[in-house]
Amino acid sequence: MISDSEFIEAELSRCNKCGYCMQSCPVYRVVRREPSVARGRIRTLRAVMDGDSDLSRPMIEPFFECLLCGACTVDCLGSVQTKELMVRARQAYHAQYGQPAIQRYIFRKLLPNPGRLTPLVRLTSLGKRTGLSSVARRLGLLRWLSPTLDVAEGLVATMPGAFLRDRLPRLGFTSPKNTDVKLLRLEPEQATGPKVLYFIGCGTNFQLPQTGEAGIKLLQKAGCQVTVAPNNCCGLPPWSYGDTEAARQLARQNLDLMTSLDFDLLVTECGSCSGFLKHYAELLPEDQRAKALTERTRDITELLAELSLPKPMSKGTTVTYHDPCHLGREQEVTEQPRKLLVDVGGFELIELTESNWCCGGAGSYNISHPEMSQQVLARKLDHIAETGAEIVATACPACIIQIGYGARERGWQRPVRHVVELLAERHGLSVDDHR
Amino acid sequence: MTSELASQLRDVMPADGVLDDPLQLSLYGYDGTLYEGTPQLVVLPETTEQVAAVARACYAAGVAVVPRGAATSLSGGPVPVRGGVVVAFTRMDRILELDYENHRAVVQPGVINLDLQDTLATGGYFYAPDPASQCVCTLGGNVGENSGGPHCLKYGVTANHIIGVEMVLPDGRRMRIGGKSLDWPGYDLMGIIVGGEGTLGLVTEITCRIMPMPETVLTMLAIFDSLGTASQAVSDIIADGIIPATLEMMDNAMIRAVEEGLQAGYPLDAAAVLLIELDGLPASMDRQIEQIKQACQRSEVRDFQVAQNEEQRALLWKGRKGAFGAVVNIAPSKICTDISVPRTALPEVLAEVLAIGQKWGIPIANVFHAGDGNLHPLVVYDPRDEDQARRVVAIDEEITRLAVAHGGVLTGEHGIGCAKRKYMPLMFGPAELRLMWQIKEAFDPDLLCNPDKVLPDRDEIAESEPLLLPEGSFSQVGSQVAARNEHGWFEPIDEAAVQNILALAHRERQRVVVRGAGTKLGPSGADVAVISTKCLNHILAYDYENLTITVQGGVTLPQIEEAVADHGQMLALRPRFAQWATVGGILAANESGPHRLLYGGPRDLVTRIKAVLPGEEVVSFGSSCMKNVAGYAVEKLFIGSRDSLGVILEVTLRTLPRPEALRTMALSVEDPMAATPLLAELVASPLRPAAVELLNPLAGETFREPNRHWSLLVGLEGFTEDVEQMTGRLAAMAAEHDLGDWRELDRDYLTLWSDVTNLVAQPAGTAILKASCQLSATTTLTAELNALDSAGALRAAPGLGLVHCAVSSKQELRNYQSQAQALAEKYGGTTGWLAPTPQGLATSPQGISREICRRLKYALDPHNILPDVLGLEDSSISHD
Repeated sequence: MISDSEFIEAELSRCNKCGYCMQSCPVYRVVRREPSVARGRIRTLRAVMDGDSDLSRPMIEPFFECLLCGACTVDCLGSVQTKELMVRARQAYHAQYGQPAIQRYIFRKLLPNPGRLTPLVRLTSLGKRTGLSSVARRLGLLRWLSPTLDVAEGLVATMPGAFLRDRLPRLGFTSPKNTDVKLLRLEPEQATGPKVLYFIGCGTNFQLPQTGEAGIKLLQKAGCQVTVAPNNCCGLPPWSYGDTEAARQLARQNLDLMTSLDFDLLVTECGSCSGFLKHYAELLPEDQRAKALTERTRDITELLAELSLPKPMSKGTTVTYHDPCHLGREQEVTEQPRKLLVDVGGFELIELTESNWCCGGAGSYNISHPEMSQQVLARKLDHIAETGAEIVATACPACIIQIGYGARERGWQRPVRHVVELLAERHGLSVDDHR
Repeated sequence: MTSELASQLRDVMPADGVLDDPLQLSLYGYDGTLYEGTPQLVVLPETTEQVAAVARACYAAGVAVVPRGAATSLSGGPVPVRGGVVVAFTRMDRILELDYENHRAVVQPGVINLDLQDTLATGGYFYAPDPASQCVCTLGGNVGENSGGPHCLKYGVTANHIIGVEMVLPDGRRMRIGGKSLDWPGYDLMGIIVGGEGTLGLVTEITCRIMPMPETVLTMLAIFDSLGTASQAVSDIIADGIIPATLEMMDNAMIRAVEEGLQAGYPLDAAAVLLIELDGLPASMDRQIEQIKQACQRSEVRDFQVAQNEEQRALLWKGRKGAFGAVVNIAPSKICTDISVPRTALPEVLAEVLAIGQKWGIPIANVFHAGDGNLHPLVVYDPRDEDQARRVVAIDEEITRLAVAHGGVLTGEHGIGCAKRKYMPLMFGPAELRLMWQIKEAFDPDLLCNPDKVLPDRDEIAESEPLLLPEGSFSQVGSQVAARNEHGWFEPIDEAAVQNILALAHRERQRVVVRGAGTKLGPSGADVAVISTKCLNHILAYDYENLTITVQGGVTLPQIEEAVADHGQMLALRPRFAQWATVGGILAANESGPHRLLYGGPRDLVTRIKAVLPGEEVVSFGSSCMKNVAGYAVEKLFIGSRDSLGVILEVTLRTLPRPEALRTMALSVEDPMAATPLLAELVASPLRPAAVELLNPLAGETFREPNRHWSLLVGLEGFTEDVEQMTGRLAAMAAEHDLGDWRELDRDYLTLWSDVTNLVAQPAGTAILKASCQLSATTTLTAELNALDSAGALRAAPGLGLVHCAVSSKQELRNYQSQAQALAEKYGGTTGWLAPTPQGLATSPQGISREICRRLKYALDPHNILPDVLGLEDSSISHD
């Protein structure tokens, strides 16, 4: 019933039921019940594998309730890959019961096709900006988010007037000559850094264009030539929902679009995208290009930490840093963002308790599981409040949206921003902060 | 049936607090072992009231309840082997109170050990027991299993740190035992409940002792080429007078697994690595390290490293902490066995453990608490291979038997659960097993609480052979079974004689009292037979390397001191009239002196008691092992029972290396209240003084310090440098509080403190009342007690929350106590008389605990031939 049972059996056999996974599972710490922790999820999967349970949704709701943050694997004595197991279980569920039609449509038709996706989001955005979202809702454009549309809308304060890709010409990007595809490129004053292919993630493009803009400007200042990649969605959302085929389709499409281009490194400021791009080699083991691309992928904080940017006069502003799961735990990029904040940003860093715990954003988890997501977020916000820091920094749009939402709900004045935004500001790089 | 119960439970539980979906139920059927069961229902209570309501409903329905914390148990403790309702405490996870001032924390049972530690750390305190699973295991589970951990070597196990619980009995009634202050009346039920593995009731609130964090922590790593020399180094370190905070060892198989997974920097061909951690004052650290290094060098250590900073310390611990996980580099799964043996048996037992693994063709890696002889052979295997799984079970059994064969115990810290109950007869005879069943029934008469755990099935326990006693009345034939002295007291010379005389008394309903040195015995009527322990005065075994001594009940403390002095050791028990008192008497009266502050009381120092029960049986509980959680800790019941349950025949006690330096510092204060801030600072400091006592002017006179002022005495013990450092710190504290200068008292340390402890010159004639309170209220209570009419000499221990008052005027005793009781209650404590209790003034436990004490008394002494010291007799109890 579940494909690749050998992998699953091997993982399951390493669970000693020691329960150490209870330690830092954010969901478990909220509900404190066995079905909602890796040990219980593994046991449930065991029952499915043994035919003692089927995959009907009520039975495996805990599989979908997992944040896929990966914390349990770190705590696990046998390093059982529960995240992987959950994704495969979701995959098997869809194989047996089918994926909701609209979800399938988004993953397989919308995400691979910017020509359809962008206008749709633009319409939604317009609705949000003009208060016409109720119209959009009536038109059923966001039906796939239902029944939690209100939550989804509430998460973002406002939608940007112009997406990042719309803004590129204004940023000084020009189309280089002698290229087959239509590309936009920005040259540095002095080309001392690597040639960067900049990957614009969906969250960055549609919701937080200013973070991408800040990242691009910083790279330029650091001596990098920046070419904007003509990419689509990285594939993480369908992969998380168990639609591995859609994820592979998107990955292949991105390889087609990018591998022939002239660049040294593929860079993005979205910690989730950089994490998933590094996962391409595993996702498409048969495709040689995937491995090559993975090797050339860097999160922007990794790259900037290696480049020389001047240290501004310290202004003594305090900042705390939240580690995005896909950047910190998955890519083990934890030191660089901190180093950048202190050395390049001149901030005073106050460490956040449980800084590497998932904020509950987890891609679109905040939409699919709004209640749980809020409870997970509450713990994060409490810890942030303890630091007393003036600013919350992180390095992934999903976390910025989630924590930013929480900050607004609590009536905080402290901004929640991407590391690169804060650095760009310190370096006098003006970023259109039209949110 | 189940659905009816489910709907009843839904009425009393929060909306999502009852689980009945079969798949969800199956997730509450396991723990960290291979054992499994399926509960009928699972409840997730959030309050004690909900737990009580669940218990009441289950009791009415005759359904078993099974308490469950994080289910990290390694003995099958929370496995619902007979179904029933699993009560999962994971949602009762609030820290109810952090009372730094009184060194107490009050928590719900679902609080995670490490969460408490992290919270306490912010206030500069810690809770000592630190089981390996502390990152997830709950304090309720720790209480159930009497959990240990690496730091137990120096600080003791869970039982040494729990001083109060609220418990829901299987019938749903709520019972409180202990509290924030010490020494409540009644048998030591806490000693049974902690380690009772959830078979006696459902603990819903825990009050634990917390301690100021040590000032310095230093970590060392020693690498050895043989397990034998490494074990010798462990013995030598302790023999040199050093009790490290931890002494952890790993064998070669473990080293290899760790290196493959973690690269902790251990040489692959090393036979053993020893991880040593010291904590305490900075002054003596260099010399202690040097001593430890020399001890290791004597054992041909290959490499000896001292962590120079926090980073290096983390690296040294990395391998130890990752050890359990690293075995997946050998095979995917493992079982973690748990045995405890006398320290001296370690090398031999280790060798045999490895041989067992070889015999069955299964790898065994060892990582263990070498300092206290607690082993955890990790048996690694592939659970997908049924034959391997079968062999693993066989290995567990052989290892368990091996421990018992070497004087060890079935389990050191994981518990019996369902995993080892079948082995209980290896350690306990029919009499002991029956007694444990009686204890179980005293709490849980309907056997509904965590059934089929700890105790083997009752019908499998063999009958004892009855004694052959001469026919006739007690007065006629008493002299035939035991010799009598000139006073007509029986003076049994051996176990059989004690057994006979008690059995005869039991048969003939003859009341008896036990007499040691006579320091605690009040007048008894002519119709009461006296059993003197005078001839039971032999030291039976002294295992100085294991730091234990086994003696008969009539042995006196000077006898023990003399025996252990040759090996530079001591018995850290310094009660009143220590020059005469017998061990049996001291334990029966549960007496200790001011040094209880550092060393603990009798219940912390006794590891085994053998006693004769009125029902003719001889029972032995405990062992010579430092860690032991096999069965109920019945030995604790006898401590403080004042010979009302049985006659203490033999005792095994822990000895300790004698401290290098002893010093008494004294400070005079006009007004005791003026010393309050200094005392608060002193007991909250990391100095760890051995004793702190505040004496009123009358008490000062008794120890030859004529002085119209109050005296503050501080006993300092330890390494010379540390005592110097403590002295300096004391001076600084006194200066800061404007309290003048300390004087060093040059009288012999032990003699001086003996006088202080005695409070009065002679044992007879003066009654001594002990009042307890919360630590921070000690000086206030002391001043108020001192102001009462007829107050005599008085000494107070602000680090313990205890005040001892000598009251000489006979007619005033009752009056004095009622006034004192009112004062003590105001500060969260109570009062009681030290033995001998003045006639008619016995303090009884109250409420449900009184009922349980009475059931225990009846179970052990059904005809009440031993004294009713708790005043339990005077109300009716149905004995059918």
